[in-house]
Amino acid sequence: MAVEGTLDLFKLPEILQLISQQRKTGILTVQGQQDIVAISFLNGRIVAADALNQTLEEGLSQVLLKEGIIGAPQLARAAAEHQAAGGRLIDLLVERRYIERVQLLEALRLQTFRLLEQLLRWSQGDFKFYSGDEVSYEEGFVPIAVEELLIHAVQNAAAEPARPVPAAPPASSGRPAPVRASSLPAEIAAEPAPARAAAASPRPVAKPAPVAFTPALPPVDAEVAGPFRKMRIEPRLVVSRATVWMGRFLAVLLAVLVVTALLRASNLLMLPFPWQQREREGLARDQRAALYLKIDHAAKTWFLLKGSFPDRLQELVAAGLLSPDDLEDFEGHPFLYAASEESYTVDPLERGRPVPGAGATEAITGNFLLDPEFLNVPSEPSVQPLVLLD
Amino acid sequence: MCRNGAERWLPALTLAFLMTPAADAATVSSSQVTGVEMTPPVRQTLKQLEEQWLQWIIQNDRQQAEKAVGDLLETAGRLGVKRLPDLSAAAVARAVEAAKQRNFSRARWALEAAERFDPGRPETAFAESLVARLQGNYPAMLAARLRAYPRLFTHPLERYLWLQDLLIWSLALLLVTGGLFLAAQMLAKGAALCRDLADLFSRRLPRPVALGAAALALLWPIVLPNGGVWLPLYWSILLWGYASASERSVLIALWLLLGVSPLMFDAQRRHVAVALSPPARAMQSLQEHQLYGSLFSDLGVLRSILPESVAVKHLLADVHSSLDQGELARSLYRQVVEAEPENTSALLDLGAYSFNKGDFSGAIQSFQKAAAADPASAAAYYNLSQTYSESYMFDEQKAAFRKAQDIDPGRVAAWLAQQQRVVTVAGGMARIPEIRRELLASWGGREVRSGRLELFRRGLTLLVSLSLVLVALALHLARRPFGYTERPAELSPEGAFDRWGRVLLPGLAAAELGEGGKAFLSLLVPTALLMLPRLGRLGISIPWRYDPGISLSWLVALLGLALYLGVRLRRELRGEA
Repeated sequence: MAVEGTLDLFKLPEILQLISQQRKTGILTVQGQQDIVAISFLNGRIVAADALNQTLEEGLSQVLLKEGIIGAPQLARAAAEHQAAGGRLIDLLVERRYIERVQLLEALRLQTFRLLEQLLRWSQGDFKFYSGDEVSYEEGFVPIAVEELLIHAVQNAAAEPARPVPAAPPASSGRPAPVRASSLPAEIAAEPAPARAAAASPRPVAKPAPVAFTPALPPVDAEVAGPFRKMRIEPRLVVSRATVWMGRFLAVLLAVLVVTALLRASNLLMLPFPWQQREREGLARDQRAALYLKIDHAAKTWFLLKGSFPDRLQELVAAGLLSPDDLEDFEGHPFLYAASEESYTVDPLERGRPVPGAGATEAITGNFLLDPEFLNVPSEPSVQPLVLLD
Repeated sequence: MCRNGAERWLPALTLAFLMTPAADAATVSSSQVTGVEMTPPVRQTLKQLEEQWLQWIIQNDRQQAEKAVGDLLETAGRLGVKRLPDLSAAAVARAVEAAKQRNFSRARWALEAAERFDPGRPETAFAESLVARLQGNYPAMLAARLRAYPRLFTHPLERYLWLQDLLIWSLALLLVTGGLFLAAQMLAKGAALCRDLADLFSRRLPRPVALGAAALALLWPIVLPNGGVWLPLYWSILLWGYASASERSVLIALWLLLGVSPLMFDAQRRHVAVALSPPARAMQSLQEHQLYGSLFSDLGVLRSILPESVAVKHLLADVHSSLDQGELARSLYRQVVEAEPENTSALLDLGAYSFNKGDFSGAIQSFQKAAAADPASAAAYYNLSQTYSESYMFDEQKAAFRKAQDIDPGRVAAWLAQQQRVVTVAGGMARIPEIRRELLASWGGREVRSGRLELFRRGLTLLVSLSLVLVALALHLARRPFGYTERPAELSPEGAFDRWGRVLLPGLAAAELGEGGKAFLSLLVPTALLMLPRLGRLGISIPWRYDPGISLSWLVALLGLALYLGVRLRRELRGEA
């Protein structure tokens, strides 16, 4: 199935956005006055672009030289080797280690970007979109989102509004666009060669503005929905600064929430749902009881040595019997401590007031080492006393 | 007694006091005061312990102090105990106090006393380390520290609590890492999510308004009750559409963990509460032959909680027996045999009591019942043979002895070698696990745990986590109409922030690449290191009697973190990260 029209009716950005939004896979050909450009889409993203007047090798060689990835002598030597060996020049460049494959892919992406930016300056021509199930593209190529392309184009246009149009690149005399016929949709593959090659002489086109060279991450296996599962693609999209910062803000907010819960309300972290209030209270009660036991051990150890409870809990910390953390409960409530001769009370404070029902009172009663009365108890009479009623 | 504890156990305590076994001697103490009844000799021995402790306290002379320690241990031995943990803790505190006053010789002998009172306590080794540090003897400090840490796991109660703490800490670690994993996902993919939401709203609203609407759509759960949990759950569903297969696996695992962990916490906290209850501590001490100040009061609490428990009566009978309070023990053994006529160990104990009292006919009756209840009991036949011998019934004696030898010749030979007149079995002590189960059941009874509504409430969390999976799947299927971008967006333009962000924010690079497992593990390691000082502060406080502090945890955490980030930095500089 093909959709076609002229650039008078639909501007190229609109067509690109339409394909992107509908996540179409297929090839868009745009025929201008001097050239034909074929753009391959995979799920609405650009994965290849070729011009009739410039071979892939030519365009790529220019980029490689311009970016200083390869020197002219090396390129010439590679071209000579290519003449002798055959095959694709770009494969030979990698195989003979003139460049790394990552560099090749980056250069290819940059070259595609430039070609597309040239294309966006076209105001006249015909377009035709051939929808299909798959397209061919260089493995590892980082797909270009239409939004990314358009934003760059707009930024470049804004940056250089009155740039003179330089001379067009030399017309190609070599092989036409390297889109493999076998991978093309049936309609385009069946078209006669003259129709595809109906290119006029090179027209003067604007030299593309320099595009930010973004080093790509190593390609990864990313599983996506649709027929292209396990396709090697690079997960990249350009998004606006506002959404980027919004995403960062949300991430920081979540991290702060988690850390705060851990430090200030660990029970809420472990039992977070509203209906778990009872469990949270139970856990807090048990945690407090365990802490009181520790405090009790410390206080009674102190009593064994001094004969009285300490005046302040800090004295137990200073003696190494408690840690500073033990001076507040698990919910961060500091303890109010008050000691008398034979007992002491510990109450967790919330906003300066004791938490109701959360305190504990301990005494020396029942402890034979501390309680002098424990062993001096009067004996129980074995016989009930005789009670004279009158 | 703790007020909380009193509230918990008071009704049962009152009941128990009313059901205290009748004491046969006029001088036996009231269990209302001492927890269990005590005869004058036992009280005298305890009094002696108290006085000997005071002797130790006032000693300034090493030899006199050592003698006082020996006396204390000898007195404790008369009660059948070998360890005095309270006194050990106090000796440790005394040692630390002396060391701080630069009296290191006193500190040393106080530490030696602590070790003798309760051998193998970690607190003693930690205090030894502190004393060595104050003395400037750093090799000794290190050696003591190294000796202290393995000791943390040698005592059953503390080991159990430590493992429970570790469990809580691990669950909390996984949950925190899960939260940070979501934050990393949001950092890597939040921009795409925001953009898609803004695009969705842009269909009907101007762009700036659409952005605001997107922010509202993302943040609204924060206003819900416990919004802190709903927000990450909601985001995890939204991010599902942008996640790779491995990231989705991690998300599902986190949802299920969130669903299951409350149930685990609840079960764990009941067990820990029981383990820390006074009765459980008392039983633990009996098993370890420890005597602490409120042991008898805590045993009284046990009886008050489970007044009808035959196992408790059996245990208390054994306690009385070990305190050489035969009459009190016999009364309880009789109650046990009444409830369990075929309880061999109680029958043996009853028989032994009669034997020791010279009531050989009574002893023969008890031992015969024991042998009938358990024909494989060598002890029953051995005791019978001994009793027949005392009663001049030599034919029966020979037959019983032969029977005992047939059943277990090795043990019989050992009893003979030890010249044991009658053999008893600590059947009550062996029932401690059974009593623990009863305690757990009685503890659980305090909370409403039945009813459909309660069942629903408890299962609700699991239901929520399963619902999350379904909602995420549904949303995934509906992603196209909602305009999802299926792949994550670029985090930011490349630059210094990007590079250092990847080094300093573990999991970010993996999140960008959609490697869920790697992202989670990258976050797990530093989170675990940072949470290390929280170990012991998230669950139950272990009632150590001397607190070693958390300086080592901080040291390990900081060193580990520095190492981890150093490795990441090195890899980044090499271009591997």
